Order: sequence, then C-alpha cells, then structure tokens
Amino acid sequence: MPSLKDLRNRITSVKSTQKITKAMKMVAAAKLRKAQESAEKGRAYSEKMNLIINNLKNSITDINSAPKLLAGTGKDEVHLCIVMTADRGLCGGFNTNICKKAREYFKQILKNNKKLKIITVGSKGADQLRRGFKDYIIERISYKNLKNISVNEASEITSKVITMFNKEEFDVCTIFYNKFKSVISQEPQAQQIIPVESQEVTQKENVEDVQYEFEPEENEILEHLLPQNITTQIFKAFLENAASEQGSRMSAMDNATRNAGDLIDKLTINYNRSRQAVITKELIEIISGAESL
Amino acid sequence: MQVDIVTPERVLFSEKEISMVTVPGIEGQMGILDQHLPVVTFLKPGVINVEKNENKYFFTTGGVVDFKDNALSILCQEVFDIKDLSNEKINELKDRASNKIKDQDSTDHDLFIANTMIDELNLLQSK
Repeated sequence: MPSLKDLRNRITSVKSTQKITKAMKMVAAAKLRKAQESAEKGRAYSEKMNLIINNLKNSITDINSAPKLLAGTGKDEVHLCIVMTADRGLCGGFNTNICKKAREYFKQILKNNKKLKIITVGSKGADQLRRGFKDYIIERISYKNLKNISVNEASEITSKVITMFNKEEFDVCTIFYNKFKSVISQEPQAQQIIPVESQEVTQKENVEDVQYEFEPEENEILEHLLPQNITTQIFKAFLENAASEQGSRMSAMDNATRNAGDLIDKLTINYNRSRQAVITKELIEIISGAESL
Repeated sequence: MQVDIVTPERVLFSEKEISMVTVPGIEGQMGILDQHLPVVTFLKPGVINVEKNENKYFFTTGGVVDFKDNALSILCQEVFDIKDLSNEKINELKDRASNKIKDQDSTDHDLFIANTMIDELNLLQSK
C-alpha cells in the first residue's frame, strides 16, 4: 500500500508527463499541416513525371535498345533496398511499420537465395534493422541536422544509386516508405524504382495512340529523364514520410495525453480514498483510546 | 490551352486560355501555340515566356515539357519568376554552373548545359 506522499508524487509526475505529450501533440499538429501541404503540392510533379515516362515507355518499340534503367539488367540477382524512416522516435508505430514491411521483404529475398544490400535513410530505421540484418547494411544516411529536406538531398541519394547501378552492383532497387493517407492511417509502401515497374495503366483511354513528337529521340529523352524520375520518386517518398511521421506522432501523443488523463483520475481517486482511510483510522484510534479510559 | 509550370515542391503557375508559350527547347527555341501536336521535349536553361494580356517570364535551369490534349505541362527542377530573381540568386546559379565546368567528371552534355546557363544569366543581367 503506497503512502499518501508516494501517491502525491506520482500524480505530479504523471501531470508533467501529460504536459509534455500535450505540447508535442501541438507541435506535431502544426508541423503536420505544413508537411501535408508540401506532400500534396509535390504530388502534381511526380504524377506528371510518371505519365510522361509511361507514355515514352509505350512508344518504345524495341525494349532491348531502351536504357537499362528502364528495362533492367535482365537479371534479378542482387536487390538493393532503400529503407526510409524518421530520425526521431516517439511517433507511434511509424518506424516499426516500415521496418516490419522491409523485414518481410528481406526474408523473402534471402529465402530465394538472392543477394541483399540495404541503404538506410534516417537513423531510426538503421537502429531497428541492425538487429538481424547488420551485415547487409552497406550505407547509413541521415539528415538529422537538416531542418528541411529539399530536392538536393533526394538527388544526392539518386546519384549514389545510379553510380552503383552503372557499376552493376545491383539489379533491382526498391524503396520503403510510409504513404500518408490520413492523420490516423499511414500505409507502409514498397516501391520498385529500378527497373521502372510496368504500372497497370489505369488511364488507358489517355494513353491509347497519341502520336507524340519527340525532340530529341525517345531514347535520348529517356536517358536523361529516368534519373530525374528516380529523384522525383525518392523526393516524393521523403515528403510522404514527413507528413506520415507528423501525423503518426500527433495521434500517438494524443493517445498518450488521454492515457495520462485517465491515470491521473485513477490516482486521484486512490489518493482521496487513502486520505479518508487515514482520517477514519485516526478517529477510531482516538475514540477507542477514550473508551478504554 | 492549359499551362502548368510545376516543380517538385509546388505548382508555380497554372492558368487556362493561354495563346502561346515560348520555351527554350534543347534543340532551339520553341513556340507552342494552341492546338499544337502532342510533343515531349527537353529544356535547356533559359527563359520561358507565357503570353497573356501581360507577358510573364520565368527562368528555368532545365526541365521537361509535355504537351497533350491542349494541356502544356512544364516540369522543372528549378524555376523562378523573373521578377523574383535577385542578383545574388543569379550569381549563385552562375557559380554553380562554373563549378560544373571545372568538374572533371562533367560530360559534354553537362558542359553544354552549364555554358548555356551562364550565357542566359549574363543576358538577363545585362537587361
């Protein structure tokens, strides 16, 4: 049975925790609005880029002469996985969900006796994947000190990936990130970026047989456009991740604040009961003392 | 026609009923009028001119243009409204281009782009 003093201490400590989580929730909510806005603004670019690439892909008749980034190396031996997570914790299942998705994928690859290489972006993912996949991590990238992630960071990663690809260090490249659906739901995604995945053409009517004029030739355009497309996809992943992280943190902190409130209520009731019990006990002692006289 | 100028970060310009746009295509200046044939082309650094009642000018460091169904999409890594382009920014871009020229790894294409960029920026500054 905890003493009154213990209970009082616990209530104060939970109260100060609640203050912190509340503040974190407010901060996350403010950041979320900004992140969500930029994620939505960025979508236009990546969608248009995708459309152009798809159109180009459809107009190429001889797939073998196409750039390797589009068609692939023809092999499927070495897989490069880029796992993109946050640099900070306390955001619910955000980091764990990405790592879980990635782990499942890794196991699949290893089971099929293929080679695996991992690049982690964001320190939390590196920490989680160190257990079990330490030997496969070839590089850890973290932008912890940067306030805002811009296209430059995305193109930095892209140029690393493309240099590796040109040295034939991998055949397939996949990125893992969380897609922002709403504040309460984020979906971990695995997206293959090299070779460009042949997407189910949903806008079939749009593609049909528009005769494009290309200036310069298709292949030349593709050669320059594909690296840009990878940058775009990675940047998109960054933006989606940023929005998801804040959303996830906001709901996690909201839950924590509510839990703290519940706990305070429970402890207060407990505290009042014990206080009353102590008073009653003292009264009984006095009365029985007086009676025995 | 519908004209959109998009960067990875935002949509800079989006308007309907534009009669003509001039873009710095990689193989020469290119004017795109209403009801143009579907076309995809690359941009070199230069000025995009959108003709309206009042002409609007943008400076881009390169990008892709896609025209289809009477809608023109200009995707650029970087694009600036000329009105907002300060002298410092121009100098910064110039420095970046000259670094590219000094870089040993630059390909012919990179060199061409960097040189064009410096020429175009000088032209802008002299105006």
